[in-house]
Amino acid sequence: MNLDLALKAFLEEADELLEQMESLLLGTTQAALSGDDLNALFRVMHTLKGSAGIFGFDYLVGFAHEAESVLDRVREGTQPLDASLVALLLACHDHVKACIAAWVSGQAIDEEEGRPLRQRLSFLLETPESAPVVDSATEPARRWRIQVGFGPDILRDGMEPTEIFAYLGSLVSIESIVADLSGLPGRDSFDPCRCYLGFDLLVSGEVDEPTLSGAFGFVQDCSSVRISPVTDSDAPPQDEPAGDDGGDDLAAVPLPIAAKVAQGHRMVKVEASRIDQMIDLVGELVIASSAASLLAQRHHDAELGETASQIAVLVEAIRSRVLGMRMVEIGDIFGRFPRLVRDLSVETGKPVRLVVHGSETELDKSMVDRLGEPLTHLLRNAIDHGIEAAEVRAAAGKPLEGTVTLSARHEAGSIVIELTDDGGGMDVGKILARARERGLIGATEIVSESDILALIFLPGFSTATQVTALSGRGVGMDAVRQAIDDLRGTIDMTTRPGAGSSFRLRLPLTLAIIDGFLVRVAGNAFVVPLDRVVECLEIRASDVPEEAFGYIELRGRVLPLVVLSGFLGLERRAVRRRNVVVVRFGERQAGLVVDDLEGECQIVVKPLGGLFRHLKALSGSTILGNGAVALILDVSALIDAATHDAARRAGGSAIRGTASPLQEQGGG
Amino acid sequence: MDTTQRTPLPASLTLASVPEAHEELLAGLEQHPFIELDLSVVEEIDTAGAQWLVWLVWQGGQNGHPVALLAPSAPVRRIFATLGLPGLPEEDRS
Repeated sequence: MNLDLALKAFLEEADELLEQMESLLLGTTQAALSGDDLNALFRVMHTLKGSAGIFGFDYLVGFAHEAESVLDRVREGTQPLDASLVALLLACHDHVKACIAAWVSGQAIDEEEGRPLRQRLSFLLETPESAPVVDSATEPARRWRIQVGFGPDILRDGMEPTEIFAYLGSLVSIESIVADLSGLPGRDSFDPCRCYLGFDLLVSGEVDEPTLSGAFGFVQDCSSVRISPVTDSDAPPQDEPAGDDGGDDLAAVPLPIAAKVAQGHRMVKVEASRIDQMIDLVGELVIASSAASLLAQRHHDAELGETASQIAVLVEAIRSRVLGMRMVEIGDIFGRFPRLVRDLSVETGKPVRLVVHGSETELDKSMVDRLGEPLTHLLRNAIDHGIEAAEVRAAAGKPLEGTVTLSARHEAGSIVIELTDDGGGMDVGKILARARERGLIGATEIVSESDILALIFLPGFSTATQVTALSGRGVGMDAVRQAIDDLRGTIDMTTRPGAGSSFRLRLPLTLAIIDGFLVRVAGNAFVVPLDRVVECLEIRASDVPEEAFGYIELRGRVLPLVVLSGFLGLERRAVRRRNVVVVRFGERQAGLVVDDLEGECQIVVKPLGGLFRHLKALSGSTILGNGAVALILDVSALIDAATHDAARRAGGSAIRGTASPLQEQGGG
Repeated sequence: MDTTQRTPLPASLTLASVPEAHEELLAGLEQHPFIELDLSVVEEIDTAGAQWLVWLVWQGGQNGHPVALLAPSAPVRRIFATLGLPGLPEEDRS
């Protein structure tokens, strides 16, 4: 056995199991856990114990054994999973996590930290078992699984599922109930008077099947009811949903925890690097396919052209599916925040509520992995320094409980993540005064609010003595911006004194393959990401400024221009008319003046070498179908450069210390 | 903050009242990036009402216009627990 590989697998598995445990335990505040959930909770400690034994990690074996024994009682129904036990199990989760981290890095295990936890676990185990939840002192309770798919017209016919379940509850103990939402239809076919729900129940009690079946007597004709005995602690089969409408859309439905855990059983784990290799190969396939199309065009070969276009369609299908394999829900990160908020709320003594929107929004796994830290920073700052203490909120006439809203959504080929708090907001005037004091802004310079707020992302801006309203806000903010920059994203913020602050992160969905728009400047090929292109225009050469920057009037609005030949130091061709590609990033637009427009293309993004990383106007390179290299333009940086220049011309000023990309470009 | 539409829902969400509420809400469903439904005054709710709320959340997720259920009253919490439905915020522990 390759021990290194086995150890790696153990650590990955431990991470996943502990994450699942935390999520299940936090889920208890919303609803009681189902039988499946309790089994899953038990399996976490059981599996960790077994794996730790393989590696001779004796401390973890002992600790997990005690936790497992308590969880065994919980799933048997002889130990209630109340708030105090949830808190104890969360503390056990943290301890196990810390132990594994210490063990793998060769440090001593903090057994002292585990001692009180072990005492409390032992105490629970020494306490005589309470009567099982099911009322059967003499005979062992029987457990049943009931799957119900109600007929569509039962509501109209006056039947009410809650009354059926209430009657069922008088016969047996309902251990869990999970609604099956896979039958919910789309907007056009939803009729609020029809029933689309199915239910999966786990019940226990001394009853026979006909008695259970009788509870559904009134709806039996028009509904499907399946009752099956559950033996021991086996998880009920998950082969099909209870509804009779089929389950094609099951994956798209936001399911409760129990269903998600069950779905996990049908997944195949694949090492991330294998998918990356596949994406690389698909990238090469895209290039080869483009080359074939070009050849067909060049040789005017209609049959070859048709075949090449068929291949292109298939390659596109493979590309989207392979990229889809790496797409994961952002809920994977959001899921860890309820715990953080709960802990920070206790730590700071401020009641805080976290509202999450759009956790099903998908983005590339590699992005998700790198977003956790900056989002944690922002959330921590929002609670530490944004949300006011309860008494301050009361005095301001605000609800005592602060609210932090975290949302994600797709928007024009990007993912937008917003973190908003309803705290005290920031005092822009004080930040400006502080910046003037430090010489970042001249005493008489006029700067916009967004430029002032951008200062909090400067390294070191907040490390010295702080103005009160800003205190701590800047801690780690430069790291946040760096992390977002590295992901080719942007971060903006807005604030309203007394009403709170909002951070908006805009990130690309993936970094691997994009649709591009190919242009030429002085014979060199450049690619503009297609989702940034708004339109293309033609202007007279005489309207093009001599320098790298300028502006034109477009439909009554001023459009800043970047003359790429001037900007990049390339030869300027003498032509009568020039092309302008209007690009946008967020709400800003600019025009890029180029020589030729070549059209759309699909490109595989190759990162620039270390030597060129500082060139902010370029975000990468790619190889075209004909084998030539094209550079990918960083639209955000170009728009920044153009708008800074426009502001300078208008008499304002770019803030010193936030060098424009142009300055960096010139320096590079 | 301005992108969120907070809509209070009526006291009754039953088979008799949901179709009307559905028609009223449907038009505005895709006009705001986020919609928050305030359930604090809901006194009467049956399976049709609960199913409708879950459908709104699900449909919002599908269309990229997330819908959140806020401040659920006790009857709402009760029926969601009875039917094993997801989508409600965490219960206030304070």
